[in-house]
Amino acid sequence: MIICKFCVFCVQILAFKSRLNIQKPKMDIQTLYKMKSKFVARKVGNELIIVPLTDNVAQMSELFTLNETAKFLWENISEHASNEDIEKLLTDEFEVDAETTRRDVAAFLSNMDILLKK
Amino acid sequence: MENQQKTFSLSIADFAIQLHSESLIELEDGYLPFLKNIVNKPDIDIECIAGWPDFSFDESQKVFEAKNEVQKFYAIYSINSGLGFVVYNQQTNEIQQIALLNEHFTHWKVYSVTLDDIIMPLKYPMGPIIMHYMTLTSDAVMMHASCAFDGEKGRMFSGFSGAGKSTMSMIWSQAGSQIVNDDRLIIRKTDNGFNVHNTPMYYKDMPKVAPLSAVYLISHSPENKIKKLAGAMAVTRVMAFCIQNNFDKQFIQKRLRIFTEISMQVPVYDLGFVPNQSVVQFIKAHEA
Repeated sequence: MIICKFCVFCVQILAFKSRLNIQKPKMDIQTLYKMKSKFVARKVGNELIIVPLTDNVAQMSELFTLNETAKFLWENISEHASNEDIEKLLTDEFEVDAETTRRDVAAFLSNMDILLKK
Repeated sequence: MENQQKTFSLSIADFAIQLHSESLIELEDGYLPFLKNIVNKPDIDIECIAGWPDFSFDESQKVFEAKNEVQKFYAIYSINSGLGFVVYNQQTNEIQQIALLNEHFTHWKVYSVTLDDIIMPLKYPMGPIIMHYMTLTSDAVMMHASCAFDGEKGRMFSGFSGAGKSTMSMIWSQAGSQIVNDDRLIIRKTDNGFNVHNTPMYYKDMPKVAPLSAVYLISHSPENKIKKLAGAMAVTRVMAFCIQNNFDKQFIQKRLRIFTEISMQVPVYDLGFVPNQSVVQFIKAHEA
């Protein structure tokens, strides 16, 4: 955390792109779904900003910018959806092959896992 | 004494604030230039009380805590009628103020420790906390930023501690601009756009205001370089330097809405800069 000389509210940002090559997610769609209510989201164009609720300054202002693919994924997480369900939705929506969507979903979940543990 | 009275009226970022007490209130010097008579009902009413209340927050839920490894700043509790605050002295870590804020964020009761029968209800960090919650009553946000006004354009510079906000202020001041402030500002929506206001600091400075013409997110660099930001990236990058307590969804929704509006109306740039006068011409050349 960065503390400014005159202020007690210090904040930090982590703007983040979801497409990274991380292969082994420790989080699954259902875990993320349960955490979704702890975020506030706002659409800006084709992107989505998500901001986690927090109870202290150390975790404040972890603002995440989700690209179009990640935004679609975030918006389609539902109570009973599995990783496979989401991968199928992505494949249909963006007309890409199954291996690409599997990698994208895995990368997204890995990123969320890392960011939520900060 | 000018800084010791039972009532004070202040105008900060065009918010009318009234403090009143049965005891003598002492304001820190930085507030004195912001004293102003209020004709209408104040936007923010602060009832200042000497001594401690006969209640505690023991049964209340703590919703937010501002502290770091070495000291506590303040804690916020959810109470039936709004929020409760416990604010700590930055030198001694002892409780300095206990405050209640109503659900509309318009009325404070601030209990303060007394010294020679005088209370200091706005003593840091209580003052900035009140100003922060004041911005939540309107289309306004409080920022870590500096702002230089050349008589036509107000250029706001923001970045992490050490990024060069004060350096940039000095450079623009030498180039003839007025520095609105080099650390803490309030951006407030107007009929035509957004204005940038200074706020009371620990030193005396006159109230200042400038139109918000551009936002620069700065960092030191071996050469001057600039990149215009757009969309969600512009919103998040600017919002990162907003002063905020993100324990309430409504606070975050409001901030996201305002910063989306700001980013749509005001250009936002990533600026790497060399700390000398060359950056002034560089910025002006790229604004066109």
